Amino acid sequence: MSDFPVWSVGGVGHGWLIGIIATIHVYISHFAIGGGLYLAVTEWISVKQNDEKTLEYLRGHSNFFMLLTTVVGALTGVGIWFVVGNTNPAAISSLIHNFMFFWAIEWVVFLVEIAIAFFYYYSWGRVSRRFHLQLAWLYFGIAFLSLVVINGILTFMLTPGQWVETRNIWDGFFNPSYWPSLCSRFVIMMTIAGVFAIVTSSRIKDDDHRHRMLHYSAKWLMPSFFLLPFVMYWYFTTLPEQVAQLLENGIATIGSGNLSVLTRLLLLISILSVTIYVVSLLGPYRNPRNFTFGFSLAILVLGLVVTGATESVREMVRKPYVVYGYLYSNGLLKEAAKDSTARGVIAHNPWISEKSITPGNRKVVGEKIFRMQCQACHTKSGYRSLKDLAHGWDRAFIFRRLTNLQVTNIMPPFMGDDDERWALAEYLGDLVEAPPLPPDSASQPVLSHTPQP
Amino acid sequence: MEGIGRSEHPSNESLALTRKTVRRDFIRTIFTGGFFLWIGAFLYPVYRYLKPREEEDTANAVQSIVAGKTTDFKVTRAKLVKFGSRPVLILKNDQGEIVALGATCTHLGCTVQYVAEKNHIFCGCHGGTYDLTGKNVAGPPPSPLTKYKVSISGEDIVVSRT
Amino acid sequence: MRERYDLGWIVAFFKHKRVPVHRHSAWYYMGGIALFLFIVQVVTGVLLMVHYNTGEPHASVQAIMSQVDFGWLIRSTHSWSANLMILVVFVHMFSTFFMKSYRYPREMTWMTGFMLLVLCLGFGFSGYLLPWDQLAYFATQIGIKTNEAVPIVGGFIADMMRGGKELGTQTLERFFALHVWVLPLMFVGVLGLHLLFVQLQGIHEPDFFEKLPPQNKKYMKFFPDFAIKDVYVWLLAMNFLGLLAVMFPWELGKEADPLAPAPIGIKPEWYFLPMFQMLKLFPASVGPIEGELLGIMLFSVVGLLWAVIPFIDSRTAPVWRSRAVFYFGVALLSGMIVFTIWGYYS
Repeated sequence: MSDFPVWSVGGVGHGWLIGIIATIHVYISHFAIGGGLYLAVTEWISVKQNDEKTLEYLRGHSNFFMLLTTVVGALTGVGIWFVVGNTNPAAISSLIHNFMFFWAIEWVVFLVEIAIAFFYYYSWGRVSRRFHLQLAWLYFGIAFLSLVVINGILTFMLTPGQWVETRNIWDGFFNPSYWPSLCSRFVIMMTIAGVFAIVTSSRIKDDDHRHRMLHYSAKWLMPSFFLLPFVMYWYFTTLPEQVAQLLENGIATIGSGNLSVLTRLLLLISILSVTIYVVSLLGPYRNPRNFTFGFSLAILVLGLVVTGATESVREMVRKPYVVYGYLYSNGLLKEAAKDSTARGVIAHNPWISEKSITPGNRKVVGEKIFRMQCQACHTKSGYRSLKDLAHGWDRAFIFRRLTNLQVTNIMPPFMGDDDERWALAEYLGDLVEAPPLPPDSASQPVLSHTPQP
Repeated sequence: MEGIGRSEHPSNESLALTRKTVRRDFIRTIFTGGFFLWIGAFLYPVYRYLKPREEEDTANAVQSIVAGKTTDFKVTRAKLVKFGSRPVLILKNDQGEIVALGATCTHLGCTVQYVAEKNHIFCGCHGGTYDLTGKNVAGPPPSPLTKYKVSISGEDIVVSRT
Repeated sequence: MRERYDLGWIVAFFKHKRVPVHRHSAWYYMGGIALFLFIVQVVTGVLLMVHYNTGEPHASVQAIMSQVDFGWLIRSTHSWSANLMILVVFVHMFSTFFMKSYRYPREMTWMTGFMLLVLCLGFGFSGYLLPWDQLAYFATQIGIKTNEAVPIVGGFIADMMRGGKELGTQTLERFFALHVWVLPLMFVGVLGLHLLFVQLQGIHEPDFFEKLPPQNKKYMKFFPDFAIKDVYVWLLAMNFLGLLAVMFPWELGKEADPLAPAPIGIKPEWYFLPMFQMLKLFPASVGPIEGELLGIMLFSVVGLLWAVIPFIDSRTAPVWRSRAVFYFGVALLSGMIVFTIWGYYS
C-alpha cells in the first residue's frame, strides 16, 4: 500500500493545499444541491402564485448557479483528485478500490446533474412552465443522489464501523455516521442555498421585490438554526469513542485556555455560525430594507470560513487515520505496522532503490523514508515543519522519539526496522543540525548502540 | 398581486391567518430564546472569569501550630497569633493556665482583644464582651468564642483544633 | 418613564439626522467601529483589572492566561482589540483627511480627533509594559530613552515617566495609573466632545457630493437605516475580534529581567514602527545636533502640522496650499506604510 511515489509540496504543505481547494468545493457542492432545492421550491411557489418578478429573478439566479456549480464546483472537485492522487495515492487507491461501483454511480450522476443544470437554465421561457418546473425537481433529485453516494464514502473514512471486520462494502457504506451525516449535510446545504440566494437577492433593483426576496431567502437558514444542534448531537454519538473523548475534552478545557487546535476550531465554528444567524435574522429577515450587497458578501465569506473549519475538524479528528482503524494518514496500513519492525520497509518498496542500508546511503534512505512516512502531514521547513518541531533534539533523542510516535494518538507509528529508524533519525538530525553521533558509535553495528526505548 | 413573502394561503384566509399567527408566535419564541442564549454565551465566560477560584481552604487546612513559648507569657497575659488565616487569642487565665480562643467575634466577625484593666475579652466593633473562658457575657454576641486545644511540649505552646 | 423625563428629543434628533449616500459612504463606519472597539476595551480592561496585580505583574498575567477561566479570552480580546482600534483610528483619520472633512466648520472635530489618536498611542505605550515580560520591558526602555535626547527637559521627562533613573516597579505603577485612570478619563472627555461636535454639525458631505444637484443627492436616515448597518458592522467586527482571539491568543514572553541581554531584533509595536525605523536612518549627529533629537524634532513638527491642518487648508485657502496639504497627507500615509513594512522585515 505504501508503494507509490509521492509529490512533495513545499511551503504550506499539501494539507493546506487540499484544505483550501476542498473547502471551496464543499461550499459550492452543497450549494449545488441546496440551491437546486431552492430553485425548485421557489419556482413552484412562484408559478402557483403567478409571480413574474420572482420567476425573472430565478432565471438570473439560476444563471449564476449554473456557472458557479459547473465551473468552480467541477474544477475544484477535479483539483482534489489531482492533489490527493499525487500526494497521498494510497488513500485514494484504498477508497477507489473499496467503492469502485459507488464512484461509478457518482460520476454518472454528476454528469447528468451538469447536463440538467445547463438544460434548466437555457430552457427558461422555451418550454412549458410545468415542464420547466419538473426539470428543477429532477435536477434536485439527481443532485441529492450524488450526496447520497458520496456521503457514504466520506463517512466511511471516519466511521468504517463493521467493515473493518466484515469487509462487506455495504457495512462500509451504510456505516454508523451515515444517517446523521446525511441529515446534517441536508440542513446545512439549505442554509448555504439561503446564503447564496441572499447574495443574488440583494442585487435586485426593484426595492419592494428585493425586500421580499431577502426576507424569503433568509428563511432558508432557519431549518438548520432549529435542527442542527440536535442533528450534530446525533452525529457525535455515532463517532468512535476515542474521537468523542477528544471532542469532549476539547470542550471541557475551553475555560482554562489550554486549547488544542481542535477546540479553537470548534469555538470558531460556533462563534461564526451564530453570527451568521444573528446577522441574517436581523438583516434580510427583519430589516431587508437596509441589507446591501456588501453585507451579504460578508455572510457568504463567513459561511465559507465555517465550512472550512468544519471540514478541517472532520479531517482532524480522524488522525492518525485516513480510514479509521484501517489506513494511517501517511497511507500505510495499520496491519503493516505489526511486522514492519522485523521485516523493514525499504526491501519491498519498489520506489526505493536502496535495498539495504549502508553507512554511505543512510541519509539518502532516511530522506526517502521521510517522504513515505512523514511528508503526508509535515514539511521540512514550511507548515508543521520538522525543522521547527524537532529543533534542539539530538540524534539519539530523535531515534527514541521515533519509537513512540503513536502514544499521542495523533501520529501513526514509525514503520521499519531499527536500521531504518536510524536512517530517518540521521536524516532528521541533519535537518535540525544536531551534532553528529560520536564516531565510535556510528562505526559500530547499528543495533549495538541503540538506546533502549 | 401575490408573491413570495406575502400571504401564502390566499384561498382560505381566516384559517391561513390563524396558522400564520401560531407560526409567528412560535418563531418569535424561538428567536427570543435564541437571543437570550446568545447574550448568555457572552455572559457565561465573564461569570466563569469572575467566579472565585477553587482554592484549598487554608483556614481549614491547618491542624495545629506552635503559638509561641511559655516564657512569652511571663509579662503579658495575652497574644494574638495566626491559625491558618484566622486569628487566635492565646491567654493566661487567672489560674495560670494557658488557653486558646478563636479571636473572631461571634457577632459580626471583628477580631477581639484582651483588655487587661477589666480582665475580659472585648470586641471594639459593637462592644461585645466575653470572659476569659470565652463565654459571651455582655453585648450583642450570640454565642461564646470557639475553643482551641492547647498542649505544652517542652517550652512550646501547641495550639490545635478541638 | 416617558412622562417623567422627556427623552423624545433624542430619538427625534437621531431620526432627523441623515447620512449622505455615495460611493465613499463605507468610510462613515470607521468612527463607529473605533467606538465599538473602545467599548470592548473598557469592558475587557475592567475585567482584567480584577485579576491583574501590579505587585507581581508577570505572574498575575500568566495566571490570567493559564489559570483563570476564560482569562486567555479576555486578555487576547483586549490586546487584539487595542491593536485593531489603533488601526481603525488611523483609517478613520485618513479617510476624513482625504474627504477634507476637517475644513470649516469642523476644525475642532479634527483636533479632538487628533487628541484621541495621541491618547490611543498613549494607551498602547502604557498598556504594553503592564504584562512585564522581556519584550515589554526593553521596548518601553527604548521608548522612554528616546525622550532623553530632547535638550534640557528630556532627562526630566524620562525620569518622570520612569519614576526614577531606572525602569522598574515604580515605572510599572505609574504606567498602570496612567493606563487605567488618567488616559481613560481624558479619553472619555475628549471623545464626548468629538461625538458632540459630530452630532451638532451633522455628517460632512464631501465636495463632489455637495456639488450634485439637490435631486441627485441621496441620503439615508441615521435612525434606523444607518444605525442598523452600524449594528451589522459591529457584529462583524466582534466576530473578527473573536476569531483573532480564539485562533491567535496573545503571547506572553518571559518575565522581564533587567540583567538579561535584550532579545535580538527587538521592535516596538507596529504603530510605533515607522518612527522607530526612521530614527534608525538618522546619523549619530548632524552638525551639532544629535540624530535622535533631529528625528524627534521632525516628528513633532509633522505632528503639529497634522493637528493644525484645518487652518492651513481652510475653505478660503489658495489652491496651491490645499494641494500641498493633500500631497503632505499622501506622503505621510505612504511613508508610514513603507516604513512599517520596512521596519517589519528588517
